[in-house]
Amino acid sequence: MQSLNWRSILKNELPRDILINEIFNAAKNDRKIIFISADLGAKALDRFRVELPEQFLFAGISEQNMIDVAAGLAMNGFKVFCYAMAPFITSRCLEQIKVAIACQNLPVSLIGVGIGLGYDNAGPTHYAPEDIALMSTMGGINIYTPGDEETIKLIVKEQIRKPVFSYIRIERKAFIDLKIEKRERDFNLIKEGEGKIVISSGYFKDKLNLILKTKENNFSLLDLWKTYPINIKTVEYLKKYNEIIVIEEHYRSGGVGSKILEAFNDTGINKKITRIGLPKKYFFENGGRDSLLSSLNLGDKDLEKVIFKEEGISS
Amino acid sequence: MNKDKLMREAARYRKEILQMVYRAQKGHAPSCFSMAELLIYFFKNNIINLNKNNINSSNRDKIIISKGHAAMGLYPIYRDLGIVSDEDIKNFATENCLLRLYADPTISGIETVTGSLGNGFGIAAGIALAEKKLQRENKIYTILGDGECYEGSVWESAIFIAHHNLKNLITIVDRNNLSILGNTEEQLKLDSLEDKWKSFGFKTFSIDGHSFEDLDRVFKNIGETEKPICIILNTVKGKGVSYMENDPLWHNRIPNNSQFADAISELEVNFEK
Repeated sequence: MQSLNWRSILKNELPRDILINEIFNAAKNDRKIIFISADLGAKALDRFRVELPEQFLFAGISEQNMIDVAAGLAMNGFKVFCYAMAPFITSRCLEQIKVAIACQNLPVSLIGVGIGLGYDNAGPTHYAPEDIALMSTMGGINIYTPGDEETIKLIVKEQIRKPVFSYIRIERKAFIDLKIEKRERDFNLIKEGEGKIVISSGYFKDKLNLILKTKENNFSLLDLWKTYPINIKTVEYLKKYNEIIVIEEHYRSGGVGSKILEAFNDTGINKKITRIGLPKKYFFENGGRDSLLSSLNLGDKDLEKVIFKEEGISS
Repeated sequence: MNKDKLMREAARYRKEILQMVYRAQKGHAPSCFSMAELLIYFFKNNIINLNKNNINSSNRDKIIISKGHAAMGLYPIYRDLGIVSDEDIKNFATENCLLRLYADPTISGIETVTGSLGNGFGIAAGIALAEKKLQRENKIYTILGDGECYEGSVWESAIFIAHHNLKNLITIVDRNNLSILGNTEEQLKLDSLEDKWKSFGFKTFSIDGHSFEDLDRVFKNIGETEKPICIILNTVKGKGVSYMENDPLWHNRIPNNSQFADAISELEVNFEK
């Protein structure tokens, strides 16, 4: 099997910079756009803070107050983006998200950086293996996991044009430069085939894209960037496949696989989905993301076996 | 300021709150009682610029009762202003009512959902910041419970308010020394809230929250201020009904028939005074 030297083809710009630059471009002409950071930075944020100081707020390491303040601003017509590391903008202030934003239908956008095991080596306090599960319980929320530059820009443009309550999940590291075969409303088809479809997002979708190139196949690879709720058109598209595999850097329970299962059930589709995700335990080991994933039977070789069905793996 | 008139209003107000709670068999009367003089002073003495004519205006003053179990305390006030009706008061906390046990923004004059302690205050900070950015000249009043000051997010918000010098926000703490399980200083010392708020960058006052003279003295002398304001009201939870005063068991207990009658008699005596 050819070795996966995908690091050499990483794009330079970090997803957070693409996102913040897009917000910045709009904010220059819209003084109602406010960006609040709970002490997480970005190169693009450095520029934002210097050039639009009146539209940047430093919340401090105070996620709960950040959310409450965002609610108060949104009530007065401001278009608010809150920004912090994924584990902290979700579980740390979940109650505030519920009582200040969700139950008052406020169109605040929450940006979480470092989804999955993005902050590798930092241990369980910095991982977000349950963020989809937690945030999907918030009524009215829209969850996105953009996996390429164009999708990030699309989501931001739409959020500014028509603000909604949203959670945008951002990878810590840069994307791989990948070609998208077809862009649909809520997902991108990196590769469209038939029969078997692999659904993923973020870091895993980049790995899977390369894994799928190692052996001849006619499988589809779908980057499901509209994580939740699952649109009926996505369901319609998926149901024509015989075999559906979801691979995610999230707990199996409550992640994308669960959401698709729920959507299938709600629409009367009776189809098995193979769901591969993080085991529900806490990982303290160091050695980097790939090493950690391998130790969890989610390394490249393991994923290859699942996709090409050489041996089953349990996860 | 007509102190006698205000005292009668406060007694009448307490009577009405108790009637609402007794009729509905739910509600937090003692928490409303400890801030009765404050609300009467605010709304019967033209301190807060909020009335039926400007209720839909974005430039009016705003009030956020962050101690959300007592947000219902605004209902009789808003009825007096004509913002809600007698019928609404009668239907308090019943099926299909407007005036629910915990207030929400479907009611004009209620800015936000409250009930989860600590959060109303942070939202008030966000509103105050928004008003400042929009260059409005209104004031935002927010009332916290002293037990609410156990919540860490209160202090997150305090740091934020002080840094942004949100002088348009008036923070009031109802220091009645009780939370559900008992006296705050015996259970888990809050100690001097005046010192704490002062150290967080607020110009802080500590007054008798049941004294109209004290309320008048502090609110008339706020004037131009260099820092955000915090007014600690030293109060008695359940003030006005002697068997409720300072007793944590009455937090959300409903009086029985004879207790209700006794309380009304006591309040009517004060009303007539």
